Amino acid sequence: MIVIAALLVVLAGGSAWAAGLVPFANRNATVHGTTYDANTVAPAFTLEAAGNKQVSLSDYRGDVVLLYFGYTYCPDICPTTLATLARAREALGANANKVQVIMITVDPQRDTPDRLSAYVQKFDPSFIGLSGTLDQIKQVASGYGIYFQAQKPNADGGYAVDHTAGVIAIDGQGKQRLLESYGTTSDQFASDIKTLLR
Amino acid sequence: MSLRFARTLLVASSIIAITLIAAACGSSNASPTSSGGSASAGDIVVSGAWTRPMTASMPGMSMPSSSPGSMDMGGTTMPHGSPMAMDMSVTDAVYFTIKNNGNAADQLISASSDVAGSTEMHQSTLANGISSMKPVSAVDVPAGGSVSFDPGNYHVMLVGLHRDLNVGDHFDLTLTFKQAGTVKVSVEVRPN
Repeated sequence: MIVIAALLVVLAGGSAWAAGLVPFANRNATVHGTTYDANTVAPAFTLEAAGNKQVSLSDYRGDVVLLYFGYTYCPDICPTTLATLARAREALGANANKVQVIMITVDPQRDTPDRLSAYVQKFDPSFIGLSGTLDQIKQVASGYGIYFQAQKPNADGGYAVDHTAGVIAIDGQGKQRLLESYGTTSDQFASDIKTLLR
Repeated sequence: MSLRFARTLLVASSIIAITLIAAACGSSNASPTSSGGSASAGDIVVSGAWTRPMTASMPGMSMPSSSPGSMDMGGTTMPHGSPMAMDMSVTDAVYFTIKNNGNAADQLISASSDVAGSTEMHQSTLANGISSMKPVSAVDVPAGGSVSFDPGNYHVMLVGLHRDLNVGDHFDLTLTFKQAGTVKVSVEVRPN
């Protein structure tokens, strides 16, 4: 941590000396996530939310959408990610209502829309969970470059699902902008969301 | 650029960096240490046990009655009518730190709690951005060393919660070590 901070001093001070710029004036440099090619349109989808409601990505045009593929039987990676996203929304204050977190299940066999909804709302009442047929989910996931594969069930019939752990950030114009890897902190999410909201 | 302006910039950037250090240290102090007590047996000390709040009752899965004898689940075929079909269980993960103050290695070999139907030890792994989870039968605790059960790594998985776990609740988790025997640790329920 100290090494990183020391490096920041050197970088910030050095660039300020060299270019005469205020540190961090280049907004692109502050983005934490991996950027997609400019003008990458986020693939459209319509899936099922709680209460037999159909939800489309286009319903959230104008908002930053944070798209996560996970499942409710996932005790570790998924709740850690959702808790981080909830904290990121808290950190955004008044801008929080311009952010929609959507979890699409990679386990449609067990995750009904109602179960998903109950699960994601434990983290933040604004979160929504979407399910569909396995074919629908596969199609949406592959459009976003998301991999998932259910493991073989154990003796009790339970099983884990391997899946890409990142969060995809879509801007208000429906462009697929950032891939945030697992381990991205709530502050980093909040900072990147602010950049996308500009 | 005047020397004075440059100096102002350097001071400003240093302040930003120091603020970042303070913020980073603040957040790292906030999470693992706030869950109170530790418990020990022999040379083993377990501390900082926590889990996230979770509701025990969630809407169950729908099992289409017209489904054929097997179902495709992303490549895995499940026999129809398996115990999973009735499984409406909710899972949660418990995290803690184990320290071994002794001169001999030990092993965590099992975990149990009466808040869940079953308790398993798991390890999450991340490779090429893909997360996976596998059960582990034992976790080594080296002599004089420590092992952290943290998000994204080792965790004790509670399968089938018997009751809601709300922020501020505490419940017991019993950890059994090959050498040191059992350690009963109090788990705090908190958001993160």
